[in-house]
Amino acid sequence: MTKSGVDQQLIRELAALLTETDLSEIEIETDDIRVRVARNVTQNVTVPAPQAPVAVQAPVTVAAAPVVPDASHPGIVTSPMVGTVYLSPEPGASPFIRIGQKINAGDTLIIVEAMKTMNHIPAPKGGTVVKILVEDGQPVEFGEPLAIIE
Amino acid sequence: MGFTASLPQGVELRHFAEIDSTNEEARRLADAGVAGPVWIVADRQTAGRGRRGREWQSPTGNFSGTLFLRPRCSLKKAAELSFVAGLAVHEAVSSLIGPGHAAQLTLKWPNDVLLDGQKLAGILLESASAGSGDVGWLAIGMGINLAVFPDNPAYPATALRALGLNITPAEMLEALARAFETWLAIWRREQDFGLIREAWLVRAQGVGGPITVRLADETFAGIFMGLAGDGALQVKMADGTLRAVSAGDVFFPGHGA
Repeated sequence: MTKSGVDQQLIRELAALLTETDLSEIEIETDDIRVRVARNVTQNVTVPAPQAPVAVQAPVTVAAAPVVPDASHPGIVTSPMVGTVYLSPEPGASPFIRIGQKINAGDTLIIVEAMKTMNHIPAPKGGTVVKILVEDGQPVEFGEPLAIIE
Repeated sequence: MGFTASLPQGVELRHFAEIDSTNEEARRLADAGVAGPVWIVADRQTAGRGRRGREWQSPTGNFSGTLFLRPRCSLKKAAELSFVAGLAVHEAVSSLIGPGHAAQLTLKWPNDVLLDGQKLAGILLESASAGSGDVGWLAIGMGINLAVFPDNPAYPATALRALGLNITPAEMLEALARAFETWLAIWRREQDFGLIREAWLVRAQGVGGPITVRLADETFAGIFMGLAGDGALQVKMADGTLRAVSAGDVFFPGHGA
């Protein structure tokens, strides 16, 4: 299973470096990920955004553009919000989905929690779960890929 | 059993003597295509839940209920409802307990209602996104300790009866329905989070003081600086950096940390 496209620790370190060096932007690229960290800008996510970018008030604004190999996959399900993901309804319970599982449109795939609101992310269409791209309890950004349904 | 309450026009009441969980009932209403708004109230829940499956004791005499809505807004806007809910429960309880006790009520991020620093009410919202990125439905579940409070809670707790106040679940529902009507109207009217955020901060417990935050895999302490533009808790760390928390449990020194 591919780990999530975003390495939180890496981004935090880059953000700290940005402040320390007083630069406005840092961009790094490896084989499978490209991360750009910039200050005093609004969020700039390359994934098509159905809603307006969120202006963040923190002194450092992180704009991460994860280039996941599957990012253009038509069956990709992305997070509609910033939050924490959960793969099961409660700790210790069976996960909502497993690799290879057949699902129907509307079935809950994952929960994203923000502000004590448990937001159920439904399958946009029926199919088979091919990939789960996040881990239980992991923070996610707006537009971050969660799973692939084929 | 003779449970009657006067609700605002257009708001439906569904009362149960016993139910698994009022938030589960909200999910069933959503699946059945019910439009809402509906207040789902139960005398007793057999599977009441808090955050991340934590047990929420809901015996007869306490208030257990869920407001089921289809708010027709973006998920970003819907996130503000967590704070709207805290404000509405705070106001509803305030209206029933007199100004002396009401002055002791505060909100613990994002929406627990504390009385003299002890937990009186808990709120858990559940929602589902629709294909468009908007909210399909939203359930605001709340438990209010009118008669009794749990023995060994995760956070020190209290109940209104411990203050000598006898409030029935029906009285509580009427006050809640009124307060939600007021705060939801303000929320709909406001283009952004500003006014709700300010109203919340005025009632917040511990702003400017030490706070401990417990995440799934980490616990850290700092100074509670306020709310970010999206409602995230802002904590100033020892090294001076600001950390934003969108999901986690918070504690204050001397209160179960």
